[in-house]
Amino acid sequence: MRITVGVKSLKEADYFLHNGADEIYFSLKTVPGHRAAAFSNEKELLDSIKLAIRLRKKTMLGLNAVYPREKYPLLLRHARNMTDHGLDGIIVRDPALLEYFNGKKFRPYFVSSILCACFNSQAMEFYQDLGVRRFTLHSQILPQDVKMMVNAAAKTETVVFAPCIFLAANIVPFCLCPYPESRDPGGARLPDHACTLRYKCGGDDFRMLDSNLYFQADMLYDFYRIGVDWLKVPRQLNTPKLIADFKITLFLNQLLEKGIDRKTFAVAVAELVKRADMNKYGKSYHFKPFPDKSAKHA
Amino acid sequence: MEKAIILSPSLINRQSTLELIKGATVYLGDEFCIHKQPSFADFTAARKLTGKHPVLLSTLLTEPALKSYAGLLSECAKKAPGTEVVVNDIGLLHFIDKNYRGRFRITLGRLITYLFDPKNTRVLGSKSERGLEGKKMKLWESSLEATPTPYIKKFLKRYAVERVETDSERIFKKYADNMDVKISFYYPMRLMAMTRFCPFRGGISLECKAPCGSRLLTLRTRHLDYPLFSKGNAYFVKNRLVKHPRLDRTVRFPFVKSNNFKMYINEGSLRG
Repeated sequence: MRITVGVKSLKEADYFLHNGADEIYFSLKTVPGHRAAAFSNEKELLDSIKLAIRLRKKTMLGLNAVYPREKYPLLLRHARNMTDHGLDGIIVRDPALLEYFNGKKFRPYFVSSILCACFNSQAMEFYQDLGVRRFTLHSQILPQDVKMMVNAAAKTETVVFAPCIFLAANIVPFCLCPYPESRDPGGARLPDHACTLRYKCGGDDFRMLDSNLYFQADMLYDFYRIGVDWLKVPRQLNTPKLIADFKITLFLNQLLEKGIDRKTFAVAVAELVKRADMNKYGKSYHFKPFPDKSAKHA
Repeated sequence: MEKAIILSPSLINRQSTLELIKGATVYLGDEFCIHKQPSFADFTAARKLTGKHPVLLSTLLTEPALKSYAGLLSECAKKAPGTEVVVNDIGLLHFIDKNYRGRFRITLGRLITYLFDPKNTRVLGSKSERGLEGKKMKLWESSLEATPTPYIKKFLKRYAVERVETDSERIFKKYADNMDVKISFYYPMRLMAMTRFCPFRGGISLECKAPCGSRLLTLRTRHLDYPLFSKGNAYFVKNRLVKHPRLDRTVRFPFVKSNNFKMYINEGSLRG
C-alpha cells in the first residue's frame, strides 16, 4: 500500500516526503478543511507541492468540510490555483461542492472523504457520477465487505486509515457528540472525545466500544490482502504524535509487503503499538511543534 | 397528526406488539443496525398485524446488507408498490432511483438530513456556557455548517423525495421555512452517535439475533452534565417535541430502561 500523510507545514512536508510518504495532503487555514491542522500561509503550501513534484510524489488538497454557498467561488479559485501549480487532486465531502465544481468544468482527481459515509457500491457510484476516483473508507467496514463493494463498483482507488492508529469508535459524520476544545455545547470543558470517556451505567462501568489490537491487526492484514491502495495517516496539530503514527504505519506496511504471515503480523502490531505507548505523545488536537531532533519514539 | 413507532422485525410476532403500536404507523426496521432490517416475510407479518403497509426503515448498508435489501425491495415493488421507504444511505437512494423510481415513496431519514447538516445543536438539560440558551445559542447556531439550500431543493426533486425527517429543531425549521416537503420529527430521543461496535455483542457482528431488544441504558459521566442513552447501535440524548404547523408526523421507538445491564468492556482497547 502507498502512504498518504496529512501535513501542516513545509517542514513536515519535507520530512515525510523524504522518509517514505508517497503523498501528502493538506488544507490552508484561510480555506479550512475538516481538521484544524492546516498550513498558515499559501507560499509554504505551494513550496510543498513543488517539493513533491521534484520528488515525483503526489499532493492532495483537503476541501472536506461543508461550506456555505457564498464561499464556493473562493474555493474554486483556491483549488484552481493549486492545480495550476501541480496539485494532483482534491478531497471533498459535500456532494453540493462536487456538483458545483462539475458545473464549472473543474474536474481534477477527486477523492471522497471518510465523511461521505460510503458503505456500499451504490454509494460509490453516486459519488463516481460526480467525478470521485478514490474513496476513503470507514474503518468500521470489514475488509470482506470492502472487497465486495469495490468489486461491484467501477474501477477505483481506495484508502483506509491504519486501524491500530486511527480507529473511530463511532461512525463519522454521524457522531454528533461535542468535541473537546470545539465550540460545540460542552465541548470546551471536555478532556477528550465522548467515545473515550468513562461512563457509569447504573452501578456498572461502561465504555463506548472500539476493538482490540488483534482485531485491528487482522483488519489491516486483510485490507492489504484484498488490495486497498492507500494507507492514510491523519493530519493533526501534534507533530511528534504525527511522526510516531507515520513511523508505525510505514513499518507495518513494510512488514505486509515482505509477506509476513497473519499470526506474526498480529503479534507485531500488538507488541509495537503497546511498546510505542501512543498516549505519551498527548492528544492529536493539542498543538505540539516539530521536535528539534527526529523523534526516536516509534 | 400522524404518530409512528419504530419496530425491529423481531418484535412483530410478539403478542404484546399490537398494544405497543396503539394505532400508530409502523416503521419496520432500524436506522442504526444492519441486523435489524426486515425481510418480506416481516413486511407481510406487520401488514397482517396492523392491517396496513408498514413504512420500511433502513440504515447505512454494507454491501451484503444492500444485497439483502435489494431482495426486499424487489418483492415490495411487485407485491406492495407505493410502500414508503425511509432512506438513510445515499447508496440505497441511488439504487432505488436507478431501479425503482416511482415504485416507492421516498423519505430522507435523519442520517441523510444530518449528512447535509452535520453539526449538532442543543442538548436539553445541559448547563454548558456555550451555545445553549438565549443570545449565545443564536450566535452558535449562525455559525453552523450546512449544505447550501438550493442544492438540497434540487436533490429532493431529483430523487422524488416526499418527506424528510429529523430530530433537530433547527433542521426542522430549515426545511419548513425553505422547502415544500413533508417533515417528521423524532422524539423523545435525539441521536448523538452511531457505531457498528455493538455494546450488546462486544464488537462488529456478522450475524445477530438482536439481544439489545428494546433496552435503553442510561449512561452518566462527570464530564457531561446530561445523561447519554444507549440503545442498539446508537447513543442518544433527550429530545423535546418541536411545535410547528408543518409538523405532520412524530416518530418514536419503544424502550425499556435497564440500567444495570452488564456491558462488554473491551480491555484490549488502546483508549486507556
